[in-house]
Amino acid sequence: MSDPTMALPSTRSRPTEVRGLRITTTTGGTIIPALDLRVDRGSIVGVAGETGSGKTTLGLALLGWQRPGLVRASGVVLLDDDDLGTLSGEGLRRIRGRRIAYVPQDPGTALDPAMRIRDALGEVLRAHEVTDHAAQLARIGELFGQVGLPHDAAFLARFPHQLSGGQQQRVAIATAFLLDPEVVVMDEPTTGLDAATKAGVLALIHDLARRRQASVLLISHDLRMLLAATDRILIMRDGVIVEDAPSTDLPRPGMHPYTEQLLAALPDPTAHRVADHGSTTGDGLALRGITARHAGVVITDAIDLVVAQGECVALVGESGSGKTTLARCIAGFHTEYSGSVEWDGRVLPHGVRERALGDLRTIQYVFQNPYASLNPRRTVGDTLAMAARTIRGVDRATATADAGRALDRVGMDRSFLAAPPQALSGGQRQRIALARALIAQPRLLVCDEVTSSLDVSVQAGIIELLMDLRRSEGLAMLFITHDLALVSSIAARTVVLQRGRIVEQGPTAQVLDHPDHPYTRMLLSHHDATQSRQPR
Amino acid sequence: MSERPMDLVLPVATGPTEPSVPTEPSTPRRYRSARARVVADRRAWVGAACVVVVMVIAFGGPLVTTFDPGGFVGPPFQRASPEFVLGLDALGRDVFSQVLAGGALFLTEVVLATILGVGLGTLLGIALAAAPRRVSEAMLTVNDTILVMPQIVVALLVLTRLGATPVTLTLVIGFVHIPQTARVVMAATQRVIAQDYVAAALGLGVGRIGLVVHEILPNIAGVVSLEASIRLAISAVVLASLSYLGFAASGVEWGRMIHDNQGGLAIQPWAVMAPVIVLGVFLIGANLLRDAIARALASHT
Repeated sequence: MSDPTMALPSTRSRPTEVRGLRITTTTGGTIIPALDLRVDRGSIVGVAGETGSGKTTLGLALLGWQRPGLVRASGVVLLDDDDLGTLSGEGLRRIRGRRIAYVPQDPGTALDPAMRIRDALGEVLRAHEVTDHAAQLARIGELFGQVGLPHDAAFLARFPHQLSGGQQQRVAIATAFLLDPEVVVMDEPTTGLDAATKAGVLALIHDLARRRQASVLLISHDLRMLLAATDRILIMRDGVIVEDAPSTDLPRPGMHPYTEQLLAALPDPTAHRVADHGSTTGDGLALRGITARHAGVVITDAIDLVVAQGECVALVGESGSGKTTLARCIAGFHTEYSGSVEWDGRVLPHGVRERALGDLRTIQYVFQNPYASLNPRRTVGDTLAMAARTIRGVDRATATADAGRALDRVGMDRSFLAAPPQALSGGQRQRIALARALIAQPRLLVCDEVTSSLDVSVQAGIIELLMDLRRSEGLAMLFITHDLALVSSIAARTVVLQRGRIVEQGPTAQVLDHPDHPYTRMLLSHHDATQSRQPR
Repeated sequence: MSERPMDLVLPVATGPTEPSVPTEPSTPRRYRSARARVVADRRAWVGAACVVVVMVIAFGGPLVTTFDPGGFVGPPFQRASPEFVLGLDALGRDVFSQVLAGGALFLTEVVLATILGVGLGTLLGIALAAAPRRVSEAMLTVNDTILVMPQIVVALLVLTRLGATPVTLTLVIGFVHIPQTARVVMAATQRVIAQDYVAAALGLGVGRIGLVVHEILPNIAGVVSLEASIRLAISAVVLASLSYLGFAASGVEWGRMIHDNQGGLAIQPWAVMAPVIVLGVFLIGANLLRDAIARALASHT
């Protein structure tokens, strides 16, 4: 307890409790049927589950809040003796921020873009009667010191857009701990952060929970991270907690089958299963001295890279290392580069518009975000049929037949042909995006973080599908990822990119087991840090 | 710190023959489009009903007039009576017949001006968003210069030169919509162009026209229909304002009725109130529709 400015209330030892919580939609559907939960002070409880399992709904219920369209049908949320459900308006407002705080998923949208950092935090303090300017600054400075942010006047005068994603996340976390709350609910606080920043944020959360004796509810779909960073794990499915266990006990005998399934779906970083290099005949893709720029700023610096036919190469690096820009150069979506992109020794034009249909067919691209890569105004069938008609020039009837076959290939029911993308889950959308690329009968598939926006069990299915396709169709693949755990299960060769330069490349097993470059070692160590327990 | 044998014991994901994970349903789930949301919105129906009622009056009315709307049937500003249900106007013409007869031309001008303005504005907006940056910046400067001129003043200026006829009125009102619509559509198109599905279409070799027709237009249709409903109401207001200021095509027309009969407001209010109410119902209807579309689009994302 190293906090001289605020005395800890005596109620600190009492756990937060949820009893018989039932949340339904206004139209009568059930989100959470009946839920009991106790969170002790100073402990970190992880909540895992797939999209739609009710984990965010539970987190928000702890704040006494239901999203529009949801109602609390019964049950109590007890913070000491106050039932948050019976409080309203002013009563809730006094509790929120001071005694219960929330870190929303996307720090970029959680911070008011028109407010300087010091004003945003000052407003929170002022709302809870810390009005003295010097006291506010002292408090902000203390917190920022703990989260590893500078707290000089210049930094505090910045606007959110002048901070990096990791800094924004730290500001959001500091804001949550500003008034020394008893309960902190964090919704996916590490999603979108690269490995190094993620490890820092987790260590910070851990430290703050211990030091401030706060109960932390950490919501995430990243089960691997939760296993490493929490004391206790709840696994939710359809609004029900199916598993509640100390995280050191997992996996354990007699665990719920769903837990088993989720754990089984985690990619295993130690399994070097890809030994075959495929049929690496012919030349395939060759990049020669690619220096890509964004508005004049150099993003990649003279990259040379070869992907032989039938070979799968992983391109690894942190966010901002230039992997996506490089991939977009290959596909012709990014044209501001010097150097050449060659296929079978032939130089391809820079822009996708200048490339011949044949060249477009050869290289197909699968995008990171399946929510943005399918036209929301076209059914799945239309999207696939249109792809067949434009790139292969087949007639309407053939295209329709092709669309059906493409669905079969990605393991989806043909009833999806008539569905709009909005009726599909993220994993299903990604399968459709894959099917669309396959319709072109490509020789090289460029996969840009294709699993990073998907739930872990869905991820496994997509990876499995990609590996099957690679084997059955002899596809070459450039697999871009920041997730080292995936690399070992898919790629024979790994290329590590740092700030636009290739710092290391070689067979995947060698790169992962005996990294040469300090940057690779750092990536691996951060990766390990989110897998094994934080030091206490 | 306890033992973490996780990496050793965790079974590795295996082939797709394994029972797949339950969160991926094997059939599509239900989904409501923005259009379906508008259709389900009761306020949209009220709005549509208002617009339709006024349209029926305007286009069906001329067929059922009891008196010649342009003929003198009694003393000026005679009050309502069983024979003349809404009384007579400043020139002693039947107000009820005028309301029935005065809408067809008015609404035709309003609707055509809206279609013209929103149509051309949409094309311009897409062009602005798709053009190379230098070109679009130059075009945008011209567009914004026109944008800052008050619509009604521009209209008055042109009409003073050309004279007010149904054609000039429609053209002038239509053209003043173009810069505003282009601005809105440009922003919407830019958002669509940045989406990966547009890049995917390019990667499949879809041409420029295919891109506009299949990728861009369907995805800005909501914004365009929202813009059209706003522009419809503005067209009606501008046209009524111009009529009120004396720039109306000759003949019987709602805007002109308000202008001509305002002197008798104290004696025979119906001569002014009747066209005002009809116009009001039309505008409220158009605005309710607009709100319903806006709500559907907002909750659609």
